[in-house]
Formats: sequence, structure tokens, C-alpha cells
Amino acid sequence: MPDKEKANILIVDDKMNNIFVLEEILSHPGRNFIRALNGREALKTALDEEVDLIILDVQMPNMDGFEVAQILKSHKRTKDIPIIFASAEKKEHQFMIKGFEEGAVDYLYKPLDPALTKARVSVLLQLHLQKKELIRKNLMLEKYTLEIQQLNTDLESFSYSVSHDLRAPLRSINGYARIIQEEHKDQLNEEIRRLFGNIQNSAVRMGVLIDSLLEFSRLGRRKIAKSRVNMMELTQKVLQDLHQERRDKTSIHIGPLPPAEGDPGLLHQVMMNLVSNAIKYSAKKEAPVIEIGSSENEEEYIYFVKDNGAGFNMVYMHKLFGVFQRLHNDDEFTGSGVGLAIVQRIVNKHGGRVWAEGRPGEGATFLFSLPRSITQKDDITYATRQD
Amino acid sequence: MQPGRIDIILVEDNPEDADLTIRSLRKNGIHHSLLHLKDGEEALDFIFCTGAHSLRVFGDFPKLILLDLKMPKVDGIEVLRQLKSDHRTKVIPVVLLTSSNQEKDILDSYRLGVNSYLVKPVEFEAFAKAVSDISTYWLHLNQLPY
Repeated sequence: MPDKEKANILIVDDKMNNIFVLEEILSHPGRNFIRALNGREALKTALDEEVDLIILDVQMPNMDGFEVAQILKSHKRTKDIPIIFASAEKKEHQFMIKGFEEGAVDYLYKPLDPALTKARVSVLLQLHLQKKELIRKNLMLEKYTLEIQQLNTDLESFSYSVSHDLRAPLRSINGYARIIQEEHKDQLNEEIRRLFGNIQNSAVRMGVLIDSLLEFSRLGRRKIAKSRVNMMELTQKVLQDLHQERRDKTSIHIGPLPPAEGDPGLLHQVMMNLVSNAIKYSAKKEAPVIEIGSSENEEEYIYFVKDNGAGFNMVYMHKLFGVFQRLHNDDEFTGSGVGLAIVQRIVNKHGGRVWAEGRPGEGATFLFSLPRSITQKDDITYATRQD
Repeated sequence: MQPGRIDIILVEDNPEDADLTIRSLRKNGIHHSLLHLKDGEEALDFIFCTGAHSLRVFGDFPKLILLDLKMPKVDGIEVLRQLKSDHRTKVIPVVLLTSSNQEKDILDSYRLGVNSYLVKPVEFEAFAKAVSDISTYWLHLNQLPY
């Protein structure tokens, strides 16, 4: 009986004695032998069972070995089974075998040389088993790929629903709270108006949270398109974009920043989030100072944004980069709690790290590293770039 | 029912959103005749005079269609596709008024020939302003071919 765990070798010969001899030569704990005494029997076995190798006697009555092989090679299920012809006539085989160029085919001459037979069988068998394993793994891979695609589609329709369906009720809450305040002004005292105002604000805030969360989840699926990014220019542009948030009294210094290897849009977002945080958390200081700079080591460039603002207690550092984790009340500083999580996700996607140092009331420094590309490691010309 | 001349068709499945939209228009002095249709199927039936509106005479296009994107049965994208692929109706200005700021929706809409795409803000004041600004533009400033 064929055995699923073992390699099945089909030996086809019209003389039982020859089969015994081959079984003796090829005997191995990992192998299982199936016998066939003529071509018809051989074909039936090859079609019905999982055969890994066939040793085929050429000179058989009725259907000879070549005929059997022709038929095996023409069937989808059997065409990939390696065949070794065993024949007493030496001359014509090389010519005959030309017809079987496709797929693994070999030949042995009788009387069989035990060492040669063993070697040929083991090579062909191993090739075949490896091929089978490869096919199996490929199928598994295809299956997983399909599963991942399905998951991605699910996630996309989920975030689509979130973006569409969760916002609509918020609009109603905000809208009707507003309408009550406007259209029934006379019936409301100041306290009631304040309470309705709270409802409105909460709805708007929830809208901001939904948007931030969506942005964060979209980021997870986005592919990064790397190119060489001039971090100096990028930071200048961030400051331009932020000029409205920035108070006149805030002084901002930009040190030399080496160019990075990364996705320009995403790195812009990183810098944007860090600088706008620095502006926000230092705004209450008499003289807010923000410093943007860099350092480097063998493996990476490190960029930092430092402020002299509210700072934080290092005990809570692990909370800084979590989604919806905040270290300040909305009364003190408003925020969605997603900005630094986005920074971390982008930097990690680039193979870098983020971390922070701070002291309550004295300021905070946010740092991120980006790996230096191989070409960049020898390239220290950024400070005196000519282009 | 054979309504008179309709200036604005609002296609919106959410009754509260429809209410807020209409209030916003009225509040900002836009008192044009408005027809509220509750989904894409109804919108297509009305414009193309099929189904419940088969007795209507084709033509008399509104000056503006405010179209929601996500609706049961026939969604906004499909309504847009059908309106813009018929040479008679492709001239009607269609403004998408939706919660979705998904890039794909925006891109698909523009590829189908949407005249404008508006993401509805959560904040009512901003929402009211957006809806009435865009309606003022299409109703008063824009020159129609019909």
C-alpha cells in the first residue's frame, strides 16, 4: 500500500525477480515500493496513487516501457513523475529518450549497477520531492495572499463605514444643538446655552477624533515611496505651513539637517506633527524657543525637535506614542492624541526609532532616527551641498 | 404628482441630514424650490421619468443636484455615472455632498464628471455655510446651457 509519509516508488517489470532485485538495492526506511508486472497495471497505479518515481522496464510484452512513458507524459496528473528506464539494449535508447525531454527522465542499463542505480534514484527522487514541496508552499502562499487581500478589503470597507456613518450622527447632534440655541433663544438662560455649547463642542471633537483615527489607519496600509529628501527644505516648508499657528514671540532655530532617504510626504508629516506639538506646548511660555537639529552615528541620522515648553515626566514616556494617549487635559492643551502615534508609525515604517526626553515645566525633546543608506554612509557633503 | 419647476434636487437618505441641509439653505436666504428625494433610485426615476415618475415629461432640469454618496439601493456614484453618461443629462450640475473624504471617492467622482465635491463638516455653522455658498454659486453666479 502507498504510504503518505514515505516516497512511493513504482517498479514496473514483467519479471518479478527483477523487481525483487531493485527493491533490495533501493531499500530505505523512507521509501515504499509498489509493483506492476505490465504497462497497463503501471498506468493504473500511476493514475490512482501518489507515485513519486517510476522505474520502468523497456522490454515488456504488449505495451513496452516507452509506450507506457508516452501515456504517462500525456496525462496532467502523471506528467511530472520522474521516470527511469531500465533496459538491456544500450544502443537505441539515447535516441528514443529524446522524445521525453520534458520532465525528469533517466535510464539505466541491465545488468544494473547497484551503486549507480542507488545514486540515480536518489537524485531524481529528491528533485521530485523538492518540487512537490515547492508547489505545496506556493499554494499556501497564494492562499495567504488571498486572505490578506480579503482582510485589507474588509478593513477598507470598515474604515469607509466609519468615515461615513459615524460622522453623520455627529452632524445632527451638533446641528440640532445649534438650532435649539438659535431658534429658541428666548426660552434659554445662559446656563442652558452653555450646556448646549458643550454638546456642540463634544460632537466636533468626536469628529476630529474619527478623522485622526482614520488617518492613522490609512497610514498603516500606505506603501512608502522612498527618495532622497532634503530635510532642510522640508523643515522650512513645514514652518511656512505652520505660520498661522506660530506666535510671533516663538523663536525657531534650525541647525544643519542631513538629507534623508524616505517618503517625502510622510516625513513632512512627521516634522509637521513634531513642530506643531512644540509650538503648542511652548505657547504659554514667556519666550518660547524651539530648536530643530540633528546628530548622526555610523548607522543612522538622528533628527530632533526641542522646545522649552510644558515638558513631561519621563515616567510617562511609554504613553507618549500610543494612540489616544495624552499627558495633558484638553483644558491645558487640545489635541487628538494621535499625532505622535502617527509619527511613530511613519518612522518605524522607515526602519527608524522615535523617543523623547523631557522634564515637567522645562521642555521636551522629540527625536527620531532614520537609517543611513549605503551610499549615504560615505556621503558627508550635506552641510556644504552645492545643488 | 407633477411638481412645478424645481431648482434644486436634494438626494439624501438621511432625513436629519436632509433637514439640516434645507434649514441651512433657508437660513441663508436661498428660497428656491427644492425637491428632496430619498435615494439614488428615486433620483434616477425622477430625472429619467421612469418608475414612480413615468408620467412626468422628460426635461425641465433643475439648476443643481445636491447628491449624497452613500445611499441604499442605488448610491450616489451610480446616479452620477448615469447622469453623466447620458448626453441629455450630463449638462446638469451635480455637486456631491458627502461625509466621505476618501481619496478614492473623490477621484471616482471627478472621473465621472462631478461638478463639485463637498465634504460635509461636522460643525453646523461650517456645514450651513458650505451648503449655502455652493448653492449660491450654482443658482446665482453660474450660467447654465438650458
